[in-house]
Amino acid sequence: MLTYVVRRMLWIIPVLFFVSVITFSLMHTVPGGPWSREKKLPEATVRLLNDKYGLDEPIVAQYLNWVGPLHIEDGSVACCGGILAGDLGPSYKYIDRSVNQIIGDGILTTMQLGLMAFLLSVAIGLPLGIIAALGHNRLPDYAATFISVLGISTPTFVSSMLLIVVFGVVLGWLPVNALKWDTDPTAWILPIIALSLFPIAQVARYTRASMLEVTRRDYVRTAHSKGIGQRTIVIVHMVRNALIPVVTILGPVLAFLVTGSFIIEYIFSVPGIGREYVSSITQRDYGLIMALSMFYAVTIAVLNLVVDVLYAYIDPRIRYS
Amino acid sequence: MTEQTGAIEAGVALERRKSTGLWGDAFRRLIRNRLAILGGLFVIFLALLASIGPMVTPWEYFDQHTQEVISNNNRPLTPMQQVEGLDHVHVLGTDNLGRDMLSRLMDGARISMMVALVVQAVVLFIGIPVGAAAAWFGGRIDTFLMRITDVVYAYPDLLFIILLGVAFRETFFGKALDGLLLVFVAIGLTSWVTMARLVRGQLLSLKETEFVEAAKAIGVSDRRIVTRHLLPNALGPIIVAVTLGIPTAILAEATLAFIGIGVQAPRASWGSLVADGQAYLRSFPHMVLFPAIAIALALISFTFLGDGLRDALDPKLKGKQ
Repeated sequence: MLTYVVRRMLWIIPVLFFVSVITFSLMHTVPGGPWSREKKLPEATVRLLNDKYGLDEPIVAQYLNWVGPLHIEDGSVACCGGILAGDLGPSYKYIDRSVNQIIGDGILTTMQLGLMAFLLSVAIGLPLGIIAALGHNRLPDYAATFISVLGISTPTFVSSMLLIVVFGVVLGWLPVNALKWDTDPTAWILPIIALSLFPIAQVARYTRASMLEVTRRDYVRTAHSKGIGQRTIVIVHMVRNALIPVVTILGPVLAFLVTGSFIIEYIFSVPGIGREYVSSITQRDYGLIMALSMFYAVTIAVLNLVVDVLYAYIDPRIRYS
Repeated sequence: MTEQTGAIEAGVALERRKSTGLWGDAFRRLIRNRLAILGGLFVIFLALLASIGPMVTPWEYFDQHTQEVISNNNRPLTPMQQVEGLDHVHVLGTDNLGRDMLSRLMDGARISMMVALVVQAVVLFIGIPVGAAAAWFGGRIDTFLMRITDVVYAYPDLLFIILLGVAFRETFFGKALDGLLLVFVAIGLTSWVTMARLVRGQLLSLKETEFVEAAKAIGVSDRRIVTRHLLPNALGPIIVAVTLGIPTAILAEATLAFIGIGVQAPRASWGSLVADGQAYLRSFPHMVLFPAIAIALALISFTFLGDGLRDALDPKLKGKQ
């Protein structure tokens, strides 16, 4: 098991390498550069800016500068810098801030949002799925299935807008612009709900399907015939076994929460890093794009690993060679 | 026993269910699932709307009835609103530029249907060969292909699609089909991984069956075994995966259109319709409501259809006629 975990963690490194290379090259195929603004800057200025930020070096050199084993500048090669030195580079969009600062400012907020939405999704999704399965083909099932199908069929931006209009504007109960958690907690209610609608539906669907499958198992029948109470059967035998396959979708769910947050952050103006994402791409802020892509890639890879390990932990039948 | 002999003696045929084979059985099970039928009907409706709809409407989706909007105090027309001096009525109203909503919704249907078809075509085209090769050849080829899928899987989907969209926006490829081809291919490139894993899993277990052993013993070539024996037996889960993958693709395209990537104006993807109508949400909700409902209905019907197919093709349900 330990070797498996170590092996998986080592695999993350080449994966990250490929992700960074692909992102880097794609980024540089986008026509224009970070200085393409509404008003065209004079040639000389662009050249000086490129020189200052090392954007006139050959692509391979730029990549090496970013990663950091070398520092190539106008033909001179020196040691170190870049990621290996913990420096993610300057931001081309926010001239007075470095990428490190931007990420530092926003990452906590984004992770808080994602975590809270995740907890809400599990807290509501699991019971919903269990109730649906237990009331199979009766009202609880239809109601829960209806809710979950609605949840996965409504795009995030639509449900967010509806929530804003209903609760923020018409009813006026909740504020619609979220600031940091500590300054105004109520402002986070809407974004968290909006973000968790899709995962709730996913978790509920999978839990329901899994519970239905477990209902057919022999050990449930044996427990019934032994006279064990329904409640005990459900809690002790069914739920624990049904949860196993559900854990496998938790990985993609977490990935969605991490990445899907940027639509939410955009609509609700949450000051996290997700909001920076799309704008950094369209504004070709190379430093930010690379850093955020790496962040997402690492998060997804690590979360998948955690889920796989958890999966093996929960289901003793699984052995990783 | 006596009954049987008696029946045989009487020459009466014993009651037997006509054997209809795997697909016949599955089809009958599918028919019985009312939700799946509803979903299927709506899918057919969307397909008809997408293919012949635009030929039937009096206006094109880009026709601007500016005079009508101006005469309406520069406000978009609401559904069925009567304007003096005009003999026609816009059944679903117009947008702020005077374009008929119904026609634009139909264009959206066209786009969504294309998304469904093209993306799944890409997924099948890449996923099946990769999965089959990994399963059949095993060993190093399997590891290599699975590592590639790991990299693609770890890559944040939306980022890749956005990068691809922005990078190739100005090229010929990006302009094909009003920017749609780019979106389809991009979405397809990020979605083929689950299909490859599915096919690989299916083929791995099918590889050990006796009929494959027999085929190998007779000397059937590798390619024939895969194409004529393994793949047809894996068709069930593949069909389900394709159907259930369509809502994800439509959702992805809608989200991209919402943030402004992919479909170029004046084409009317449902996502871009929502984005256009966002500013008028409070006063003219019909601009957002109709495309939002359209997206939800499309997603719901494909989901029901996919669920129905999965239940119908699941061999474990054999006992439950």
